[in-house]
Amino acid sequence: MGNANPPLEKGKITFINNHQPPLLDGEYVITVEQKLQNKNAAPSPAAAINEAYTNTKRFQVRGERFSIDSTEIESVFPPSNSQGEYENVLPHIVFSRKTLPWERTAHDQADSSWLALLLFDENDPIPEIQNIMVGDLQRSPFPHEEGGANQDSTLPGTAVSYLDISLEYSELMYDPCMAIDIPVSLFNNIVPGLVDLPWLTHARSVTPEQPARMGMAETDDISVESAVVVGNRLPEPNTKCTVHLVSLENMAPYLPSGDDYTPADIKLADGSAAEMVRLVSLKSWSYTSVDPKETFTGLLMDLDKEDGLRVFAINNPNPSDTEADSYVANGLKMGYTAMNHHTRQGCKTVSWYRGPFVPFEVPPTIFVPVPNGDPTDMPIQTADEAVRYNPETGMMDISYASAWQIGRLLALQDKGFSVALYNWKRSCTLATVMEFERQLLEQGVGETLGLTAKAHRDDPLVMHHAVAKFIKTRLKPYLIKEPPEDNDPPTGRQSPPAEMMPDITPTAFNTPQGNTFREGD
Amino acid sequence: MPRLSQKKSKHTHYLQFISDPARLAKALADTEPTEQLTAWLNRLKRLYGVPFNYLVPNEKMLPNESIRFFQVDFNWIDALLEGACSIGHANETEARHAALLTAKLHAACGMTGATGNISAPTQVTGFLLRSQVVSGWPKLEVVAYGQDGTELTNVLRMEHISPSLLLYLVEGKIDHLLLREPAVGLHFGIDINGEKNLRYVTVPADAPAGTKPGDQMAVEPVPPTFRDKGNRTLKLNQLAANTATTLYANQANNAPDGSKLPFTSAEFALEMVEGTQEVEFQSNGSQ
Repeated sequence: MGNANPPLEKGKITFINNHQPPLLDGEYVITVEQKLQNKNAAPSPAAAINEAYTNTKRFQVRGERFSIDSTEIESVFPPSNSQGEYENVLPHIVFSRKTLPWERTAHDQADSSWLALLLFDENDPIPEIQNIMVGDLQRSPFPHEEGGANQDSTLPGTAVSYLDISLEYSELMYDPCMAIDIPVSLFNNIVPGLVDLPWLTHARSVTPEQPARMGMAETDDISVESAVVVGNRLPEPNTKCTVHLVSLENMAPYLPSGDDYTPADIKLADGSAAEMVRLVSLKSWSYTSVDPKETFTGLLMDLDKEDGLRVFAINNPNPSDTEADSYVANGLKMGYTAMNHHTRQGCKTVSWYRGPFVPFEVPPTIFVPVPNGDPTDMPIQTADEAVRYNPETGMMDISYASAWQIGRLLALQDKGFSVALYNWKRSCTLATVMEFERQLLEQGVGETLGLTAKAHRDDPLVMHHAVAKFIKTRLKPYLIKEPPEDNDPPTGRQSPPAEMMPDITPTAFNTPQGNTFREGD
Repeated sequence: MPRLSQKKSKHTHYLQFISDPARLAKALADTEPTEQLTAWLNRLKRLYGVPFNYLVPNEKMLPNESIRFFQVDFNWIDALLEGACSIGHANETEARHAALLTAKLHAACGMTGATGNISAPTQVTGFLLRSQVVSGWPKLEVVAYGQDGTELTNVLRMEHISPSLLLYLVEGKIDHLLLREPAVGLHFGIDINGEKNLRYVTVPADAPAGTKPGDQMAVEPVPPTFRDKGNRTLKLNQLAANTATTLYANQANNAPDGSKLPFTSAEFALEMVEGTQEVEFQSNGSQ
């Protein structure tokens, strides 16, 4: 398990020998008989009853046979199209239906599973996968479409296939399926022997400590049960391998037998030796087994890490003792890098730049309004304010200036954000102006209006209403009766007089669309 | 009583008013930045959208097949945020406001980590990993530990910047970290050296204290045999039989009374499972 110094994710995994389904796949007949008889041994003829009622129902347990629905397959390992150090890894496949491998059998003595994983690599060679019909697994002609005439099977003359594919209910000769043709010699070498079959399948129930991590938070069932089929062959290193999940239903007579794996005598119908075996491929996937150097551990161990783990700085290839060189070396050690710098005046120089990732702890300097900082600090108005100059060397550090500038550009690039920010700032300005007006009114007419309660004085609206009321009632006699024509329709918004608002002029950035500047709004 | 119509005097008043931070802060007390703003700034704070050559200005900093640890310079982040908040200043009024509002925005947007709660970390460290490991194991698991050995859980960002480049930011200071193959890699196989170490199915009385079923046994490993070396097909039955023999010999698959328990494909599976690989990095003290 590697060096297990931190506790791995806790949980329990239980291995189970097998999950025999209550009924194997196939057709079943169920008969119910009910007899009605008078208990009295010698009843009167009128009461003599001796009748029997029987009822027969046929039903079928259907399961996968010539193809497996992809939803039944939970995962395969090694992952499809992955590469890794798999030369010591037996491929396996996990089924979400825990009884699937035992629903049919290979018909050996132990009634082992009907599924097996065969691994092929490039030297074998990898058998080509073919799209065929179920009828092509046997010799005699069969209809290739519904109501069609019988046509020949594509099974090659030198090949054998399943001993008995008598179709079950709802299976048709022209159902599509996938198959591979394996040369007999290869088949004998790689197919699991009769003695191996019992070891290739098992079931698992996994109980994670935190069910939510496996997306099972909504069910009460906190253990996941699954069935696993394991291969019996290790891939060669540095090859591309293909794994086929094949059906070995009723294939026991063809499998190697005994501890020395004596090949079975595979004969054609006419008694000559067969050259090919045709098997149904229920799923296939490929992966590449690579050089152990290119494994997870190998790659990570080979990472560039002189002197322990190097931090984020440039390695100085040829250090020397001159003052300038040591200065540069220090700069590099601090995570700086020298960049060409075109100043605003148009001259060219070389300046230090450093990104946000630095190789040591940086104390916070105080050049931006830090949160809860001194509010009298004015923010940076231009990027140049953040340029730092070192008079000893005449070099500039433009790190923070670049950061400021890139932040500004990113904000301008995002229209949604820039509009929202601008609107929020305007609403803040408006709040300030309202507050200022309130203060002005309070100073000017607060006492006159008798608004001495603090609550009244703090609310600009109360102030407004009071002043308006004052004007309407007390000053009405002094007002002009008919106001002059006014072209501006009233806006109906509480807004201060225009001259109190600061001048809003469009600034030098791309004006957000749909946001018109209304002077003095 | 000041005269309301005197625009000039009023304007000076207004400038006075906004140049007094205390009064200005009071006026702006109720203005809270919208969710949209804080969410965007939160992402910016975690360096989303910042061009990569601003993060790593020189490719020598991150050669192929390398891992680099770093600390995050908050000054840089602050400057970045300030730049983002700096748009739309046209006059002194707005600049005065900005001084307060920027601080407000800063305070309102923290950094959202993996846990989902917004925090304002005081120290953020991380690493950049540029290696085939990143592309080969996309679901690589990273566990970082602080100096006191506790796991750092508030992962602020873990992202594949490019197929072979992983950026990882976490609150706190990384002392050492583990890179693990994804846990789904629980698989079957033999050990690298071509043997098979065994595990306890049941724990015998003479086992070391604290042994649990499933722990590795300190016995001679069982070598697997091949039907023929060229095809690398295992003699599973023989391997299972040898395994069972070794287990029984070490009382590792026996009932409490010493009788042998059955050895089936379930026990065999337990013996054949190989764990996933993990590699630990210890960061050196110079950070």
